[in-house]
Amino acid sequence: MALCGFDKQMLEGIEKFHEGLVELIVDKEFLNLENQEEN
Amino acid sequence: MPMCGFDKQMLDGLDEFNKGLIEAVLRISRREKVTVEEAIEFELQEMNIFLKELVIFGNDASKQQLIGIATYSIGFYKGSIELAKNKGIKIEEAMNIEIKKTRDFLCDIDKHYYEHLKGKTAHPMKELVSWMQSQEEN
Repeated sequence: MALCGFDKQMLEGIEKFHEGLVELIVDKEFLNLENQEEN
Repeated sequence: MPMCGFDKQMLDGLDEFNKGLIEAVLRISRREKVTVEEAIEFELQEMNIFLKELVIFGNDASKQQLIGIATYSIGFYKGSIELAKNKGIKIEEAMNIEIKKTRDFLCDIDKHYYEHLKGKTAHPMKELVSWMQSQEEN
């Protein structure tokens, strides 16, 4: 993929960052559910 | 590395993105036969124009993502130029140091917020930024 503004590495980096964001939210959701159950 | 605001995957993603930013200006430098500093200057100018033109773009979510990516990239290049000037090193070396510096900076902010501020003070974000400012001044 030959792009001028974004190269493959940048796009893969963003993709990985997004996956991390999803993981983070899933973890937080899980923590919230756990807290709610405890209360 | 257990973090609350940034997880390892996000930080790895940013590292990867930063490496791509470096490759991009090295490629421009080779292709256009200009110095790396000139290539960065060219990129900074383009991104600043892009940000100004982006105002009329209506898709709010995509717009925010593009503003974030462009602003982050500008910050990375500016930080690298500053580092190269302050340390008297080559821009290529400065950009590689900037990758680690960015990661450490984000880890420090995250750690300070979750260890010392969140749930412990009335205005944690305000105090976080004050702390960041004090780190900058030291």
